[in-house]
Amino acid sequence: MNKLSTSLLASLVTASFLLSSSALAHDEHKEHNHHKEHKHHKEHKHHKDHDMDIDFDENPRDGFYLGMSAISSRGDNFYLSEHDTDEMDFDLDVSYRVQFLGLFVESPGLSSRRIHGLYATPVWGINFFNNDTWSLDLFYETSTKGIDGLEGIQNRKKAKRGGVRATGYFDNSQLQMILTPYSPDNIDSDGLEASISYGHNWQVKNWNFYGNVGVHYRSEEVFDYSLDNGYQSSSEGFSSSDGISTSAEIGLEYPLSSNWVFGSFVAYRSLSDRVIQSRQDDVEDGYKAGVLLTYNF
Amino acid sequence: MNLLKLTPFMLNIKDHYKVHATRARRSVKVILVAAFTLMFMSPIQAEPTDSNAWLKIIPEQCVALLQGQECYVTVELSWRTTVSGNYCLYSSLNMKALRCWENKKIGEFKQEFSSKNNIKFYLTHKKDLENKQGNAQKNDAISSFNFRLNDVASAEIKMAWVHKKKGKPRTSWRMF
Repeated sequence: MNKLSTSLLASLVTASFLLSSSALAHDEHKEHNHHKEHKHHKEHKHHKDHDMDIDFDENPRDGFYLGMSAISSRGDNFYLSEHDTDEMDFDLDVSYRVQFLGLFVESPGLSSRRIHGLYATPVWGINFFNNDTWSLDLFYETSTKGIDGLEGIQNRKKAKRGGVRATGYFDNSQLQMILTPYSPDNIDSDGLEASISYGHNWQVKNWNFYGNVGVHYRSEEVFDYSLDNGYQSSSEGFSSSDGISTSAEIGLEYPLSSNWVFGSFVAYRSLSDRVIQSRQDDVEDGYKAGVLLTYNF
Repeated sequence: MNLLKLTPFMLNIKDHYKVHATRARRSVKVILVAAFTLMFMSPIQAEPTDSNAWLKIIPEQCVALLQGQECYVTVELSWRTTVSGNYCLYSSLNMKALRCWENKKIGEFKQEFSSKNNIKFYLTHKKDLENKQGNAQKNDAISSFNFRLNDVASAEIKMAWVHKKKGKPRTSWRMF
């Protein structure tokens, strides 16, 4: 009898222990669910410890953009002896931006103005700050090559440069400031290049019209490209002063599908005073207009 | 002696489970009663579903350039049912009928819409509309529930965009 009662007691104790532990587990589960939303980030990290899962969402700009554009344009060319050209140019432009864990590489194009801004060049860099409006990058240019479709009216320069870029993304507009105080290619001083540009977007039905304006500054140490003189150093008297040029663009875009976009643009660029003085002709500015068809991957 | 002490404890457990079983049975009863009450309280009873009825829309997608932009689309709708009757067409944008047809089993409709979210279109029996007008002062949510209950056919236009807001990448790395 004693044996029976002892074994019964043991069974009851074991059962009650099991019940209490399962109840505890259930409570933990409830607690887990209750705080699931609040603890999402923490839990993800906890999960990461075990599964080596990387939280790609930490930087909101991580990801990629890839667009291919066929551009047909016509207009002026600063770099030909015949400034006004009647010929149609045809370009195939690949525009991309790839960012992973804040590190990025990008090549801007006409189709990606709303991502890259007006004065962006091909660069690599690090995106080190983001909030709801502003995005800050440290970057270094991979090329001084301009944007396909606008090459004829771009203010080319000699050396690749590095610096900081702040881009403000607002509801229907974008403000970008670029400052490049660093250039390892310059022999003496690095000089300074800076720009500020503003773009605004208007929607009329599913058509989107945009206007971009910008001002671009180069100190005398930053060598422009000139038709007659090529890249000149300040010692030869070409770059004895700094220079300011201006830009403006208007355009429209129409989404044909979630991948295909039809676009059209008219772009204007002025030359800086020092470049105008260095030229043998009387060219001071130029226009370029065109249409483009873009496929976004 | 020990067994004697344990007996009341065992009885307590038995009672405990009895109480729980009774409560569970009561809950089931309450749910069943509530379900039946809801069914009969409902002013409109569900019409038999016409499984061969269809509502087609062209296009099926509206594309804006930027995420969050209003998307404009001219929608062409056509519908067909197997039985002639009085039908009304509704959209998720408005509680009012877009158009009603009497004694018809086919119909067409064309109109421009603008929305930031997907637009759903419903074809319902006109009887539901009359009941709704009769109970105009009733809660819209209840009326809406009844309409959903009697949809003959439905279709949806999905909103899409090319670029995300504020320069964000089109594709993120998260794949799963």
